[in-house]
Amino acid sequence: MTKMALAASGEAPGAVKRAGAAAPRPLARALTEVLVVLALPAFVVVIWAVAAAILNNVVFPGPLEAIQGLVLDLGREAYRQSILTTVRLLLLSWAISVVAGALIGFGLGLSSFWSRVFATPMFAFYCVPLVTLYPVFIIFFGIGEQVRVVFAIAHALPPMALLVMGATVDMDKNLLRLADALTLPWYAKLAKIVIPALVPALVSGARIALGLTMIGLILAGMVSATSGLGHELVNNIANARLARITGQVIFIIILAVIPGLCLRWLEQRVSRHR
Amino acid sequence: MLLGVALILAVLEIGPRTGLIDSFTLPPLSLILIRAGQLLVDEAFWLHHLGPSLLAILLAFVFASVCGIVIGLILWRVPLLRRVFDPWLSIYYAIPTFALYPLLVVVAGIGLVPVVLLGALLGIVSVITSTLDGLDSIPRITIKLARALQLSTTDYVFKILIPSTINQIVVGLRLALSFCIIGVMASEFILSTYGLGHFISYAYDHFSLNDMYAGIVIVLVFALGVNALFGLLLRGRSKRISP
Amino acid sequence: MGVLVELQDVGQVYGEVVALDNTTTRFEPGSFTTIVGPSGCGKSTLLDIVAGLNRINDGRVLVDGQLLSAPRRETGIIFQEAALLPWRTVLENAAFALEARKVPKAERQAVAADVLRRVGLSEFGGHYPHQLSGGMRQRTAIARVLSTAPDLVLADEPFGALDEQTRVVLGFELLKMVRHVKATVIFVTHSIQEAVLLSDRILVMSARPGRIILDAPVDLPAKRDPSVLGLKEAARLTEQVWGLLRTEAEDALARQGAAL
Repeated sequence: MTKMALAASGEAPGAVKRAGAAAPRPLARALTEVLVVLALPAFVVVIWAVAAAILNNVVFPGPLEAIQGLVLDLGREAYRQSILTTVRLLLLSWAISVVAGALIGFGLGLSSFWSRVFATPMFAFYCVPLVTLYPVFIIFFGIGEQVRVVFAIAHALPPMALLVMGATVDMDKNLLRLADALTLPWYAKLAKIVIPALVPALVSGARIALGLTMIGLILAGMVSATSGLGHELVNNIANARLARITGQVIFIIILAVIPGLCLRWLEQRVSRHR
Repeated sequence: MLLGVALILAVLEIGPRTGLIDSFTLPPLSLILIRAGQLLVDEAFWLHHLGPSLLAILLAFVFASVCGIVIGLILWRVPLLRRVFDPWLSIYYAIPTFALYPLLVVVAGIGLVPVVLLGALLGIVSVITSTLDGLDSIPRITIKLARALQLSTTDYVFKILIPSTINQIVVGLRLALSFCIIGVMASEFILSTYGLGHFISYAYDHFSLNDMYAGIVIVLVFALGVNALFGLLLRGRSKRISP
Repeated sequence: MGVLVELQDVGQVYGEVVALDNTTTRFEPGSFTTIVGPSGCGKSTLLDIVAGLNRINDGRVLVDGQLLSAPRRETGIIFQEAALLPWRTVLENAAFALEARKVPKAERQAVAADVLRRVGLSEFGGHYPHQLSGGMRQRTAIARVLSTAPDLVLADEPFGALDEQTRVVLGFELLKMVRHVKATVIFVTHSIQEAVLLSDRILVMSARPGRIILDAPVDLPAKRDPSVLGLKEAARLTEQVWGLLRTEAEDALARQGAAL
C-alpha cells in the first residue's frame, strides 16, 4: 500500500484500491460466467459422443443413449420415487448437519481449550473411510431411512463444525470489544456482529456439507436401501444396463452440481468485502 | 485430548464386558484387537484382502499424484484452460464420484481396474488444486531468474518449479492419499471379490462380527497411521500446517 | 460538554499480578490528558477501567459524579485497530454507534455523512474497509466516535499501527475535533512526541505494578502544530518524560530477564 503524505484536510485517494473499477454490465458478466462454467462439460460431452461413436454404441453408450435411458427411467414411478426419497433425505441430513454443525462449532470455538481438544479428532473424520464403518451404523440404527441420514450427517457435520469453529476462533475480538463499548445488548451483539462475522464460514461450510451429505447418502443407498438414487444405480449393475446407469449417473451429477454452483456463487458474493 | 481417547478406549473395552453394550453387537475391544492381530499374520488374509487393497491404494495414489501434478502444471501454464476448469475444480468434491463406480464395473468388470480408477479419480483433484496453489505462490523473482538463465523446459520444471512448490504439493498429496484410501475401501465395500473393504462387507453379511470389527480396526489404524506419518513428514519440513 | 472523571484508589489485580497499583487522580472536564509508560505498565488497563470494560477490585470510578459500573453510552472509545465491521461500508460503519442507539436509518446516515466530511472521507462513504489504508480506517473509527458527540473520549494508542506522518496529521485532526465538542480526553500512547504535541497534561506510569510517577502540566500555547516541538518547554518536558521512561523500561526489561 502506498503511504502518501496526507494533506491536513485528509484527502488521500492514492492509497485506496479501486472499487469495482470499470465493471462490465452485470448481464454481460453473468452470461460470460455461465459460458465458462458450461465450457468444460460441453467439451466432455463432445469427446464422449465421438468416443462412443468410434466404439460400439451398445457396448459403450454415447450421450444420446444415456439421455434416452434417463428419460425411460424418469418414466418409471419407482425411479421418480427414488428421486424424491433421496432429495428428501438429502435436505433433512443437510439441514441437520449445517445447523447442528454450526452450533457445535460455534460453541467449541468460544473456548480455546475445547477447540484445541476437538480439532484433531474431527480431522480424523476426513481421512477415515467412513463407509467401512457403515455396518456398525446399521447395527446400532437398524436398516431404514434413519441409518442413511445418520451416516450422511456423520460425513458432513464434523467438517461443518470444524469450519465454524475455526471462524469463531479467528473472529476479530476487537469487534466484540466494540460491541461492549457501544453497550450493545446480547441479541444485538449476536445479530449485528457475531453472525455477520461468521457468515462466510457458514456459507462455505454449507456448501461443503451439501456435497458431503450427498456422497454419504448415495453411498449408503448403494449398500443398503430399497429406494433412493444409490439403490437405483446398484440395481442396474446386475443386468449391465450401461445406458441406464450412465443416464442415472448424469442425473446424479446434475443434482449435485447445480446447488453446488449456486452455493459457490453465494460464497463468492458473501466474501467479497472481507 | 489423550484423556478423551483413553476414555473412549476404556468404554469400548468395559462396556461390552459388563453388558452395558450388547457383547454380540460389539465385542470387547481386546477381543477385536486379538482377532486383528491374528488376521495380520494370516497369509491368506494378506493374499486375498490386505495385499490387493494396499496395491490398489498405491496404484491409485501414484496415478492421481502424477497425473494431478502434470494437469496442474498444464492448467497453470494455460490460463484459458484454467479458467474453464476452475468452477469444476472447486465443486468437484461435492459430486458423488462413487456414482461412477457401477459404471466402471460394468465397463471394466470386477477387479483391480475400477477400484484403482475410482480411488485415483477421488484423489486427483486434491493434487491439482494444491499444485496450482503452490505454483501460484512462487515468487515472481524466481521465474524471472529462470528466464534470465534461459533454462530448458525440463530444467525449468525440475529445478525451479517443482522444488518451489513441493511443500504445497505435499499437503495436497496427503489429502489425496486419504481420498485414495477412502475411494478404494468404498469401492471394495460396495462391490468386489477381494480387498479389505470387501472383507468387512463379507464379514458383515455373514455375521462374523468379530472379523468385521477386526477389519474395521485395521482400516482405521491404517488410515489414521498413514495420515499421522504424512503429518510428521510435513512437520519435519518445518512448515506449519493446520489440520 | 466534557465530564469530570475521578479515580479514587482504583486498583486492578489479575491473580498474582498487580496490573494497576491503587491510583487516585482526576481528569478535569474538557482536558486532554495523555498517559505514557512502558509496555505492560497498566495504561491500557486504566483506560479499560474508565471505559467500564474492566471490573475493578479496588476503589471507585466516578464519571460526571456518577459511579461507573458498566460502559457508558456517552463515552467514545477509539481502539488501536479501527475495529470496523468489514462487511459494512464506510458510511454504515461511521453510523454504527448511532445504530447501536437505535437512531433511525435516514437520520443516522445523515449524521454519519457529516462526520465523514469532517474527517475528510466524504468521497469514500460507499467503500469497504478493506479498500482503505490504515490511516483512513482509523479516521472512520474517529468519525464513528464523534457521531455521538461524546463527553468523554478514550483513545488506546489509536495511531500505534500507522506511520509517522499519518500519526502526526491524524493527531492534530483529532485534537481539533475533540476541542470542537469540548470532550474530556484520555489518550494512551507510547509516543512522547504525541503526548507533548497534543495534550494539556501528561501522566507517566511506572512499569508493573503501574502507578503514576509523574503528573505534569504541558505548558505550551493553546494553538498546537509541529513547530511547538521546537519550543524550549517542549524539549524540557520531553527530556523529563524520556528520562523517567528509560529508567522504567530498563527496570522492566531487567525484571523480565530475571524471570526467564
